[in-house]
Amino acid sequence: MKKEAFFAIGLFFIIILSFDAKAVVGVSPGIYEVEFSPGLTENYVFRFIFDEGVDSDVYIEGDLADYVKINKEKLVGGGPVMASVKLPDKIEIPGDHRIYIGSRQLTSPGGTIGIVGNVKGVILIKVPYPGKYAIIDYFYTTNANQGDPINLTLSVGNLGKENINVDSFVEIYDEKNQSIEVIPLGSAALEPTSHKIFSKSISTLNYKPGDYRAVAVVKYDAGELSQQRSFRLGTLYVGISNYTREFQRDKLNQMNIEIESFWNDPIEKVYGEVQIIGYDIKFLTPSVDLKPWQKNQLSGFFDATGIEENKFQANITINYEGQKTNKIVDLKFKRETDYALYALVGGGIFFGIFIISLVIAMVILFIRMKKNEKSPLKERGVEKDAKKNK
Amino acid sequence: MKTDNMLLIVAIIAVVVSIVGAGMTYSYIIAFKSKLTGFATGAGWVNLTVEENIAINFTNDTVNWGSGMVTPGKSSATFNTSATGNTNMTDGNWTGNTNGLNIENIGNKNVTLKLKSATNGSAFIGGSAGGGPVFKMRVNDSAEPHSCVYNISNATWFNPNQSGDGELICDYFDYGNGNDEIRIDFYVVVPSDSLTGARGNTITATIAAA
Repeated sequence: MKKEAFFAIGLFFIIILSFDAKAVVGVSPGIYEVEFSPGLTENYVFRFIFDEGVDSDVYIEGDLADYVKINKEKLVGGGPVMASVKLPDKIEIPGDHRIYIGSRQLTSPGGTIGIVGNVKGVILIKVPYPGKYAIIDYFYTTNANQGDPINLTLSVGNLGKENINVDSFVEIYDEKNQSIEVIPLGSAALEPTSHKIFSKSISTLNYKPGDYRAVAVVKYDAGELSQQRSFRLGTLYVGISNYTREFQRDKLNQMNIEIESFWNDPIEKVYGEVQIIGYDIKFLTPSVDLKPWQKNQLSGFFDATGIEENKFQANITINYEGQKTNKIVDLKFKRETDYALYALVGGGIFFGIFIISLVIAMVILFIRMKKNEKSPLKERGVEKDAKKNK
Repeated sequence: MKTDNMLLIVAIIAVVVSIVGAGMTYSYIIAFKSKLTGFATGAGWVNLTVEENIAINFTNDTVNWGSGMVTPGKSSATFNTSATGNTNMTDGNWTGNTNGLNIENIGNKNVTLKLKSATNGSAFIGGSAGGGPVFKMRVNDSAEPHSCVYNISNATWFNPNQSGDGELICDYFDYGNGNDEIRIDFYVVVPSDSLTGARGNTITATIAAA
């Protein structure tokens, strides 16, 4: 009854989250974490989610797959699958053993290239290590704007058979890979199979905007562990990362400008203004909204008629939140194919060949006419010889 | 006269029904009132457990270029869903496509993401002209940065893997709102002597709890 309630809640959240979805695949719950015990016998239910009418098969994977049976091999439009696990009395290899109960979509959505889903529920069997053995379950950092706090979250687990004491801290490195701060997270005594989450919020008032690396270090009785994550501190700035460089002469041209947000919050109504330097040519782009750290594209059009040089410059201005980013960029015209020249040369060659052919034909005709003038005399001579013979 | 009597009877019935209804409402309110004290003398627990679930949404699950052919005289046509303008589709008369495929993590847990292709370029497209067929993929999260902790470089076009569950793309495919979406782009070269007819390929996205 308890599991059914879990499924109902999980399914409810998936339905809410997948509102207006085009095609959804999923499984609830995604994972069962189980501490190994000899001969463990248990049933685990996974509720697979596929779109209505979608066929999928069900399978088992993993090094302990032989110890699992499932009650279904096919699903239509998803549904629950019960995995019955009966573990052996002993598993030789300590650590995490993953049993996957998966369901693979059998029907393609069509198109030249289509994508289908294959989702795997996990039964994670944790086999304790002999002696003292700690792991970092996870380590997360968050992004922020410069001056706002950064949250650090570290989870440490004892996977050994003995108690351990852990002490943890996080070291922050800047873009030049120089250590700038060490933040102690705390210490704890962990019994076998237990986990401890350390969390801390740190001030970034003394940090500059940019990319940072956080390295979490856990020291315990039998050794040391570390894991790193990167995080970014934002500043209200929109950069110009790319733009169209080549255009066609005397035509209406589209100019694309790729912009990038360095701000950890959304920026609304960002638009560009482009002035061709030295000419009275100026255009605005429609505005776009930027999500945190997002790249997006602004596009506008200008008439290149009147620009004489092959290479010219433009002043791009990006407007956002009352601020501007300026960049003077070098632009040029594409080398155009001179079809008139091609036509003239081609026509000249053709005309030359035509004249030469005409001359040759006239010469041949002239020679034949000469021959024809001579042949009647010869024929008459032949007739006279014939009369003499008679 | 008859009509007046009829109206009088109806009015009397209406008054009686109203009085009975008002009486019943009053009695219900009195009974209900006795159950309300207005005092809270103890603490209560609301117990709610949210289960971890994994789910992805294919917000765009197909890429179509329609029907077309390599421009006569050209050895091959090139498609690049990540490119805009003239380079999106060159030397052919297919309809360009700039959409790619989009996957959003709509669960409440980070997942691993692998991508597998059913076929390679030779089986999918065939032919040998212009260096032969090419079928490559690239994954990026530039629309929602930090959605994916990449196992492969997000700037690299790679030949899709066809074995097992395919290529591991994201060690962690984040579920956080605003950084939970990736895009898959395709780079395809179709030789002038390619296989003809409707060509199709299926990409399988495999997810599991990270």
